[in-house]
Amino acid sequence: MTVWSELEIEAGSDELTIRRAYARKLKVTQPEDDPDGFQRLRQAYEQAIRIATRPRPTVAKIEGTQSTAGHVEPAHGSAQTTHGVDEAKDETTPLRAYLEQRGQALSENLQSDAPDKWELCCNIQAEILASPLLDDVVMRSSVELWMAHKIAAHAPKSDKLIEPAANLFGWDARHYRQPSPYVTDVLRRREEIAFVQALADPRHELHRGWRALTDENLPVWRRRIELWRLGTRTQVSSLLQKMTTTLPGLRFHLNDESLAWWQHHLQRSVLENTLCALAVTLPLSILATFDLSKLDQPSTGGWTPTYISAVGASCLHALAIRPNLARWLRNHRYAADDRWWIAALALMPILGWLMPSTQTGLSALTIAGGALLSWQDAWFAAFPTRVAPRRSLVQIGSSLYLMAIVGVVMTVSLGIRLVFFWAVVTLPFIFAYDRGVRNLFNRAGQLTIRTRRALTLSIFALVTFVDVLALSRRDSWFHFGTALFACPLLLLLLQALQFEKGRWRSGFLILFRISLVAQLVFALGSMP
Amino acid sequence: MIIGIDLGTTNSAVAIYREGAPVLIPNRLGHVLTPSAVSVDGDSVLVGLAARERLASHPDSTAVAFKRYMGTARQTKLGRKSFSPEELSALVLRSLREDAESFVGEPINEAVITVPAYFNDRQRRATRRAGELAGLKVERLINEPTAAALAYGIHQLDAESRFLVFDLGGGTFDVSILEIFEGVIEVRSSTGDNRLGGEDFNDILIAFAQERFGQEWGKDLRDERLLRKLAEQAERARRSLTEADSATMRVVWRDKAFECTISAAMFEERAASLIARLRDPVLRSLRDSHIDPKSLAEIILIGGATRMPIVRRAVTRMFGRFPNVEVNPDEAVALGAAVQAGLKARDAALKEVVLTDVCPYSLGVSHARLLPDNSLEEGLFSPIIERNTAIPASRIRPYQTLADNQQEVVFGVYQGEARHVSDNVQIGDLRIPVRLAPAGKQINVRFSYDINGLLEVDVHIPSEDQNFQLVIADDNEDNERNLARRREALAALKVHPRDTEPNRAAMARANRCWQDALGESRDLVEQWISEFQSALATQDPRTADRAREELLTALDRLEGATFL
Repeated sequence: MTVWSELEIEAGSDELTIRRAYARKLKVTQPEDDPDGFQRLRQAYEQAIRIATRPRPTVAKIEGTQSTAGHVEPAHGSAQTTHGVDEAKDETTPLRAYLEQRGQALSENLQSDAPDKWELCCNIQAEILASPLLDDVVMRSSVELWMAHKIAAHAPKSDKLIEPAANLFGWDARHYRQPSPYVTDVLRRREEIAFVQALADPRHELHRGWRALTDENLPVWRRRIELWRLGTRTQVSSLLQKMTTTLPGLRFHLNDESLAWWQHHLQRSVLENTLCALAVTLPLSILATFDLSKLDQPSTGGWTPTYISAVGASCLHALAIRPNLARWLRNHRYAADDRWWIAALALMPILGWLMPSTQTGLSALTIAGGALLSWQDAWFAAFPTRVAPRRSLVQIGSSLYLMAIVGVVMTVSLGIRLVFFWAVVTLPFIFAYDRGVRNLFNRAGQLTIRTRRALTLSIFALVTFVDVLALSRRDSWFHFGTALFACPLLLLLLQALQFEKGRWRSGFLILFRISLVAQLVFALGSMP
Repeated sequence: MIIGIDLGTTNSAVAIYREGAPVLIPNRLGHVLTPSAVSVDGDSVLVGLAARERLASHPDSTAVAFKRYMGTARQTKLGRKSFSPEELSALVLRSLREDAESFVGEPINEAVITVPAYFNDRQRRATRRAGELAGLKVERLINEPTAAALAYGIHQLDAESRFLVFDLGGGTFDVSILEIFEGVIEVRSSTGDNRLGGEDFNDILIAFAQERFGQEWGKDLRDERLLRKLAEQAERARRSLTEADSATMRVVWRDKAFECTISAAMFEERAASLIARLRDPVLRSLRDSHIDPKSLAEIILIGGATRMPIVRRAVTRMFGRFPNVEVNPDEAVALGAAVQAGLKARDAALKEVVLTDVCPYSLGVSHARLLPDNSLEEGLFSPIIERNTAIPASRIRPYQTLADNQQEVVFGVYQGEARHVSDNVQIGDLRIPVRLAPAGKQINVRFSYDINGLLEVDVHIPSEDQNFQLVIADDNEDNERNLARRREALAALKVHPRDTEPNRAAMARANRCWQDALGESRDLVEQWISEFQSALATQDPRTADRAREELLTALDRLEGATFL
């Protein structure tokens, strides 16, 4: 049923016919009696009117430019304009002429390059805005749209003109519908200016990234350092993201050359990282899998290829898998296949237990532990909203893990102390996972800050204990173990650095550096 | 019979459609306007002019301008009882109903009540409840500018014209643009300001007097009685500034007379910010209706405050032409309400007339958006029905869940124009439980504005085939009983018989004049009062009437005529 058949007129009728038809039908389908019928009729009528009357722009009184004010119905033939209008016009003609002339002056000044043009522009704008002609609604509307158009077209040079105009015309960013798209642009420009001013404050969270982007005196080598600093890199990328999505005017404030450099290098570094990680992880993992059986030689110790591969694999595997896994999970449709991942990872310690060597079990345990923790966290991070993941999967994984620990503990005499401590520290945490306690997760489905901190610090304590223990024993096996234990710790600390701010952040940074150095020292020290 | 009632901030009126024309119904005092004032005198309740006269002498037991609090839960304490704004309005409505019944001679149970076009959902429901508390079935709520346009346009149904109605009342400001063609009266757009009215202009004068005499009054500046006296004087002065170039405010406080004069020029200067506020709704209305101001045939002024020369001058400057002042600003709305009542009753004379109105507010829900960096931007307003859509209107929009395993979806329902819901008015919220599913589950939300401008919300989940409805907080079963109980409580309030009202009003006025007078004048007033009381004591209605007339004339000479 087309709009024309609903109104019972011929297609393409003119406005008058449409109105008459609507009036005729309206008397039959009264809105009180038949709300649905009325709505259909009304929508048909509005659609027909839209088709019949093409939008015609209002002609701005200033400068003769066309500023599109949207669809405005012109005066009908039958409209009566009182003679009061003509009288009023006579009185205001000199004022209009003055206004037009001032408008032209403003345009010229905006386009010129004279050094003092800002003063001039501001003064001219003040004159225009003070004109008594602005009391008239038509005049006011035209001037408003014209001024918005001019300011939007000459951004960022017209920045100083924004405030007086916005105050007079009452442009409010809070309304979702603005009188014209140019007003939206002007308001956005105002927001950008405010944002840039806020960025100048050193306490702003994106200040460092801003400095890296805008500082013209920053030498290139300094820039490379900043590129590798985790904090600056994330800040720069979030600023660039803001620039492409919500605040495009930021580019006026950025140094073109440094912008290009950063964009180029940011993209490259992501690619580099992934490739690097894949290139190292894969062969090492394969090596580790095939060579695990050769680890049962406690007296030799030292930098055997399997030793390196075990260490490297656990670190890099976890590192590489985290963002990729998260991405995979995000794109993947909701499915229950995730349980296989947990089961597989948790089974690894059991395999280690079955193998006839303590080191194998221990190393497998560590790999599994580190990967499991980092994996679970990645999984949780894939949920951007308030719901914690399904309990059952966590339970399955955690109980398998527990079984593995118990199994290893049974077969090992010396390792008991180590594993026992590990279990004591992580067991409550695992049970907490197991019960799916909601208050461990924040609204974003991630571990709460407190949980993270507790976990990180407890593992740090464990590793420290283990290190101290290792100092008392001149056993390379021990050193190997501690080095492995350090991997999940380092991962957790890295993660903590991403989320923490302020004093906690600097604290964790110190811990991270200490651990890194200490573990390196231990690893090196365990060499024969 | 259906009556049409204009429930105003300062004054109310009632009218009826009979014999092809709307007719105003006079109240028990013979006036067509009844002040919207309620006063408690011991155990009984006074409504109307008598109550307003008691405002200066008993400010703690008198309430005026309660229309400004409609839709809120604010309780006003009068004497020993406390009333909600609906109950106060219900008392006024009941008094009007009784006047109508005695005029028409038959019981009246249905009414059409006017509301400012810019009243939101809560305020409209409160008005309907007030009608129900007064024992009236409120068939329709009609917007005040539309009513005025009806009263004006009913004579011009053959013509095709557009006009703008500029309604500046005691407490609210509405702008509506209407179009008449082929007997169809169509509202094109409607905006306004719920916090701008004649009272705000009075506040300017009150501030002026407070500046002048602040030092001498000291802490008394906050005293209720003094403020009431000032308010009364400010109202008087504002009205006299309509005709004269200057006005005097005279207040008697602690047996001393304080007088100050304000010139029209000074008043205009101080009221400049209020005048500036008149402009925005006009601009918005024009923009929303896509009508060229030059095609407007008339600018119609209604509402008592449009008598002010500064307002008229502002309107002239806005449109470059003189507005139409032939329509009676105080009566037009009630007459229009009566026309609507006639339309409802299918009066034969109105068979060829249809009226369509619009909703003044956008209606939508709060939603959240997922940003590229995986953070959530929450609290955004998503309009489902845009403002100035013809009502009844119904629109449906699909929404999606954001995450996997989401267990419920919370929709906050908001009315307003701002981008963030925190700046809009919340109507209610809807919690929809959803079955566990991947993200992206579709939920359809349907909003409907019915013909009174009241809301209905329906939510439908296609995949589960379930429907939910939003029950707006005050419309459920439990409140039916509440309503009946409150109605009985109000009906039980003692009100003096109708025919004693004129005498009471005159007495209250005389008391007020006595309080305000000093020295010689006070003695005179005392003498008049005792003469009146002795006339009343004779129990002869004719003597009493004559004595009352004399008293009122004498008081008019003393303080100027009563204004309404």
